[in-house]
Amino acid sequence: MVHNSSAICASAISVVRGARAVLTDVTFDVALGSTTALLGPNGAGKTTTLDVLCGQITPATGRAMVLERDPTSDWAALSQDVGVMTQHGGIYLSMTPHQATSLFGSYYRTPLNPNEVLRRVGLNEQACRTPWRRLSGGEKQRLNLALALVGNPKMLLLDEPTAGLDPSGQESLRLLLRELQQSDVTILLTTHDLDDAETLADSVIVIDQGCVAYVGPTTDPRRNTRVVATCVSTVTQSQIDALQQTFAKLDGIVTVNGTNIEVATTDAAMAQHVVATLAAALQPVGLVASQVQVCGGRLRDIYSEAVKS
Amino acid sequence: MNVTDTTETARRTKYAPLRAQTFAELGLRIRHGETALLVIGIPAILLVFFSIVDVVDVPTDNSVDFVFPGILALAILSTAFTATAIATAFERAYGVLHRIGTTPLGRTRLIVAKILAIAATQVIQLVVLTTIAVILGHRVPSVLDVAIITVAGVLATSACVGAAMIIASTLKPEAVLGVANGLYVLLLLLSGLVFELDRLPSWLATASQYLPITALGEIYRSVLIDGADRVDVRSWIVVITWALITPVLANRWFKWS
Repeated sequence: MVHNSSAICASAISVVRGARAVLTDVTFDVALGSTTALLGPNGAGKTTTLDVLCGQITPATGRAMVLERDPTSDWAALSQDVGVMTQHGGIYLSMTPHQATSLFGSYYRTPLNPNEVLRRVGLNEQACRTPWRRLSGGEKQRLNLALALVGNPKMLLLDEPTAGLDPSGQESLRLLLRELQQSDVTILLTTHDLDDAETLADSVIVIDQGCVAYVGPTTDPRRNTRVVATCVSTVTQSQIDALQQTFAKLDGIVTVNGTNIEVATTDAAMAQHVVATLAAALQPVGLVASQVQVCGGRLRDIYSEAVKS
Repeated sequence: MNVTDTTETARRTKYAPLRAQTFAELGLRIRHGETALLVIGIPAILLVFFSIVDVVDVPTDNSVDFVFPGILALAILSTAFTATAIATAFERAYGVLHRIGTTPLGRTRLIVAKILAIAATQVIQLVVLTTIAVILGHRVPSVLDVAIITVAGVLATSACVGAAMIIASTLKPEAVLGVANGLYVLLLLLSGLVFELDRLPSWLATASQYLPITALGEIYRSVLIDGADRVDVRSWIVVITWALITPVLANRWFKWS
């Protein structure tokens, strides 16, 4: 259930490392009880953003509020309610998942049962008795999640939770996250998997080169809408020229990618008209299309448009 | 929930993480073979070697009487400084500290847990080394001797852990490995632990008196050789000063990652 009030309010956050601006004026809100995906290319500033939100980095300017507290000055109290899954966080090498989960559970006021948490993340009994250094990458990732969950948090900050998991592990994690969503836990996760972000998240934040490039829903029909005709033969330059004349009247931009002809339109409402026009324009220039369809508006399109680097 | 429950919950919240972290740190130290060698094996070997092999002149009739207090101080140095600096630096490198930094444990409880775990390790050191020293001919320490040794040891431990955390927070792990081991050898030579300070050039001997391990060695010698009634005021002041300064600086400069 998504509430109207903010669980996270990041306001004009800037982080500078040496002479390099890692984050610049990053501003976004995350609604209480929502799931938000933080997207962006490698090095865009996703992990730094999470580090600011969990009090590990003090921003040079700007302020973050998490569950109405400032993580920089009040992390000791705030951390009781926030579970963090770090991307590169390790465990004492000789410690088993059971020992680690019990130890981390002891840090919290109202921890969950460590055995129950380990079962939920799918670590079997044998893995629970294996030292951290001998666990597989996927098992380590499951333990990372267990350590974020054991404090029974109201909010989860997850840095690339599906990284290193096999397909069944990824599916288990999705199911677990859906369970947590049902329990009103606010989730902010970073990922490179756009399909995951689209299916799991209510909204997305795209960061590119330290700046927020997009904040909004996971689908947006106004963005990057285009009509694509898949032709059965290669398109020649003279055919492209003829089509461009037709679509110049509609302000459409014609591009060709192999046998695909794409007509971009800035107006989603016009898309069906463009479909009809394109279908009608193909035969006179000697082209046959196997299909003509409206594409765009999905997260992949939003992301491609937002990320220029 | 009544007031008593609330108080109990608050107490649990305050002390349960510290207790759990202390036991975890202690367990990791005891199970780690290299650490066990550094904190028990090396001091025990040095104690036996310098007590039975006439390598250096000592001012006491029995070599073990002079060597034992120095080796006790050396054991504290190896446990509280060298082993702690290296372990903490690698905990940072492996991301353990970064992860703990996102939990409610906090830096103060982490540092206190390390100090308590080290103190527990030192009890084991004290028992092992005292047993060896007594076997080699040293007198059995009195209860008062043990009490003074313990108080001075806790202060020196605080100073050494603070210094270890500063180094582990400011240098790369590989550098910490070199610096911690280098300082261990340097302090072994400069602190008069196995030979008298007056063998050193006078300026170096004077400067060395202000090192915490030199002062700890002096306190231990004054107790174990001269008896508990002799108080080495200057050495106590040196140890107390270091014990106050380094933890404060460590708390200030400590970095989770």
